[in-house]
Order: sequence, then C-alpha cells, then structure tokens
Amino acid sequence: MWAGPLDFFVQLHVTERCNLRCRHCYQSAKTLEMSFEEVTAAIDNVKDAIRGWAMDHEMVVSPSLHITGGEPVVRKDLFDVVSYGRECGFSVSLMSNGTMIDSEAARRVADCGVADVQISIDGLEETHDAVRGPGSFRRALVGVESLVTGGVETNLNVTVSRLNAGEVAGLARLGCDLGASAVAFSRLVPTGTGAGLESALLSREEVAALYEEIRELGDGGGIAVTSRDPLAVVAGMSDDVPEVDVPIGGCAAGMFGVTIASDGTIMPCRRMDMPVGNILEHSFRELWVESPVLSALRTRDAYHGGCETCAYWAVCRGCRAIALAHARAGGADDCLGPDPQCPYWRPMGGAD
Amino acid sequence: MRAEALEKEARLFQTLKAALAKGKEVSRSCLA
Repeated sequence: MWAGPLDFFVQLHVTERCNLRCRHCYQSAKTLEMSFEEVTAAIDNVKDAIRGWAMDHEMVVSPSLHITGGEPVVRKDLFDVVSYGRECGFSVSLMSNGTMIDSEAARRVADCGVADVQISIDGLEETHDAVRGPGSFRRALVGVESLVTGGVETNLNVTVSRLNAGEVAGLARLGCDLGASAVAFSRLVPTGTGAGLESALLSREEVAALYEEIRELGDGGGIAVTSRDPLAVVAGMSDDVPEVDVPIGGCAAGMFGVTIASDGTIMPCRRMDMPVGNILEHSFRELWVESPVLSALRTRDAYHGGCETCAYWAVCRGCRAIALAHARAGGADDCLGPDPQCPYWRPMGGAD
Repeated sequence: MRAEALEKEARLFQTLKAALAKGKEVSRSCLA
C-alpha cells in the first residue's frame, strides 16, 4: 500500500526580465508579466486543484513552488510572492543567477522562509563568463557566499553540455569550497535562445561517461554531486523496475510538475513550448487532467521511437524537452519521440 | 469540475496509486 504523499511541483516564472543574456537561455521572446494579484490567483488555482485531489481521491500531495524568471530578484514583490506561496502550503524555492543577491537580499531570502536557492553556474570562470557574460561568474559567487553566510541552503545547478562537461570535478570542488549543499547537473536543452546549440549536446557515450563521473563523485567530497535528469536516475538504477503503464518517476512533464510562465501560460515544462492553457483563464485542475498534451505525456502507447518499449519507461521517459527540441530541429512538432542522448534503453520483459 | 473529468482523474490516480504501491521509490522531480 502506497502511503504518499505525492511530490508535485510548480515552476513559476514571475518575470522574463533578466540582467544577463546567456547563450543557452531557453527563453526567446518577451511576454506579459502577471501582476501580484494575478500571481496569487494562479497560486490559488493550483492550491484548489491540490485540495480537490485530496478531498475527492485521497491523493495527498506535497507541493513545492520553484520561483524563477528571467531573474526573479528583479521583481520588487518577489518576497511577497514567496510569503503567499508558503501561506498556501507550498515549500518555496528560488532559482536565480545569483548576480543580484547581496547580503541584504540574502537576509530577506532567509527571513521569508525560502527552503533553498538554486544558483546557476555553467562552468569555471572562463567557461561561465563565455556563456553568461563577462564578470557574471564572480558576481554569482558573491550571491552564493551571501546566501551561505546568511544560513540559506544553496545549491549550484550546471547546464551541462560539451561547453563544460570537462569541468565536473572542478565544479564539485567549487561548490564544496563555497559551502553549497549540492552541485547538480542538468542537460542542455537546445531551445529558445539556445536553439542553435545542437552541436554542443553530448553524445550518448558522453552522457554515459558524465553520469558515471557524477556517480563516482557522489558525496565523497563533502557535497552532494548529483543529477535529477531521468537518465542519470536510470544510470544508477538496478534492473528491478516495475513495468507499469503510468509514470511513477522520471521526467515530471505531464505528471509530477508543471510550469506557469510569466503571463500565466501553462506548459508541461518551461523547456517545452507547448502551451496547454492559461492559469488566469481556466481551472488548473481541469486542464491538468484533460489536456491532450499532458494526457499523452502520461500514456506509454503515445510514445514512439524507443521509450514506449523500454523497461524504464515508468521511471524515466528521457527528457521530453530534449526530445521535442530534437524533433523540432528536424521539422516535427513532436514531444513523444526518442531522447536522442539516451544510452540506457533496455527491452521490456525483465523483472516486475 | 465536469463529471467526465472527475472520472478521468479518479482513474488516473487509482492507476498511479496501484503502480506506486509496487514499491520502487524514484525521483519524481527533474528539477535540479
């Protein structure tokens, strides 16, 4: 008997304004920005769905709100949004480039009860600055140090590609030296501004080597070196996987998480530009269960090209955003094809 | 909430609970 609760996250983009212009940014066009009242209405809409799931189906959810942008710190009412999210029962995290966080901002982050802050670091200084702009590395480090000094749990997140895959061990040491809690690695999704970076994607063999290196680093250096990429999770998994036809882990798109863009557009994932409705105009609960896009993402038979016949489908499904970007590069608007970087496909029919 | 949507939601959560009861605890967030 499964006792729950079910993890469910909302990645909430409160702005698309940003002080940096990163080469690999998944955003491309500016959109409207919800007012504070609209943001709270959006949070209420999700809260109502979660409450309904519990009341009608005894599906108890542990909800988290991951506030990002653009750069969320540019928004003057950011800490009011954080407080509102917490009042509504969400664990609240921030995802930031760190460059605008000084000791005063760090104090406010700590005071309003943010669970943790994720700072984007895309390599050691030379590499990071080549991706994010001159001087951005040292400014980000000031942000990390301010947060750590202020007692805020702080993680580094690295968008990993051929631009920085050789710096994994150095980044782990950097995180340790800074007092971060973890250094996490996410694969580059070539979409938005970063759509031209297909050639920077790691090959299957390079992905396998990357996750082997991350597994070996583990927490041996006093810091968690990790990845929540579905492929990374599969890389460390035994063959004892239930071959069920509903997602129980892996890529969250369509099942365990959702993105709300700064104008209220709901997407399966911020890196999947496939709008399923607007949170200010529709019931989130109805959209979540009825959207054809979200329904397909949770249906094994809707997949093609490999994942649907893989023993790991229920716990993985690859990265749907990378599958979509790959398909779009070939002219198809399809998020259900193969993850082109996956080295772990295994036929069904093993242990259950 | 439309009745059809409520039924679809019930089927989905029932299936999900049964699958989760098989006991494999895996990450359900691909956020870093």
